[in-house]
Amino acid sequence: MPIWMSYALLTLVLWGFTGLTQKLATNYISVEFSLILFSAAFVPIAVVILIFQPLDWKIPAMAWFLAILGGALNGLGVLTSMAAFHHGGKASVVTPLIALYPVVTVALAVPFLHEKISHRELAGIILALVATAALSYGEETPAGAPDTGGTTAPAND
Amino acid sequence: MSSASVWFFVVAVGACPDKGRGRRLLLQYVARASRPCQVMAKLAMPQKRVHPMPKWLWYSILTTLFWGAWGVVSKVSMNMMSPMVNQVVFTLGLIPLVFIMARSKLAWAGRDRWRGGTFAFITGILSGIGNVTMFEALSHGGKASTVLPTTGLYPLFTVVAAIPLLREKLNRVQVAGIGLAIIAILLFTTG
Repeated sequence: MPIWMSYALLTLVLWGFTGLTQKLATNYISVEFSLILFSAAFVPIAVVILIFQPLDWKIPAMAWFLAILGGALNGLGVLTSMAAFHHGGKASVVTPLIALYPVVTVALAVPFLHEKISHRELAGIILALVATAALSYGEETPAGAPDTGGTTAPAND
Repeated sequence: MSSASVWFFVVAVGACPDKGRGRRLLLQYVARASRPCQVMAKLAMPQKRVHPMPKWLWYSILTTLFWGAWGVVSKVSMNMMSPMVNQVVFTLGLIPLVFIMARSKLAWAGRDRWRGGTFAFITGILSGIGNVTMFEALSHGGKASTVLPTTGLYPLFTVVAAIPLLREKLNRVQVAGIGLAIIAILLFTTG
């Protein structure tokens, strides 16, 4: 197994756990408050990294911009996903739909990053996307319920 | 109504000995003749704005665009810095989200802030560490076009772990999703 796949699967497990903890959190507090604390948790992670990891801060301005943009895109995605639920989107439709965000990544990566995709990888990508939508498909939840079902992309939700 | 017919009536009314009746006739004619124009104008006027797509769908699409673009941005930034530095700087980008959430009137509602807050904080810790491992995957040769679809399969773990932990049951669609996810991972791993 390639090392990147090991890291990717570890990510899958970690984010998979967040699906449970996020659901438990919103049983007791509002989605808004949970997102505040969710974001606040990134601070101690950053502090631990700053203390224990030797970091090379000689990075170009563009890198700063891209990393902050990454955080902002993540946050914006959280807001728009919440807005989708707020404007009457059913959890059983919105959650599988927004889970398809890797489609956009693939669509952008091929022309902009010049990534080449083999037939096997293409089959894997298609199966993964269908699987993601299927896994995110849940039963109908009452309107206004704090089901963000996976709101987090990655972090999100 | 043509302008010629209008002028004809104006002249006719002018020649009419009963000016009041002639004016009434003219106004009635103009009103009747212009009715089709009024109908046409009404049709042409925007009555009520029609939204071909509901708002929630727009927001859902925007979400996929933001998160999808994040995958590409992360891959590009991995060429310029380490995953650890990226995670530290990434945190700055979440600051606007915190301020927007804090302004919500619903933000401070809840029946058990300590318990809920603890779960939310754990969610953030797990997500943050997950971010780092995803950045590591991208920096260790993983392509954005394969890493993101793989990490995007995280509901696989959620639905499986929810069976014993939350006593949830899987529906048929989710069972099919598990099978497809495993095949997808095998295709990436053995490729």
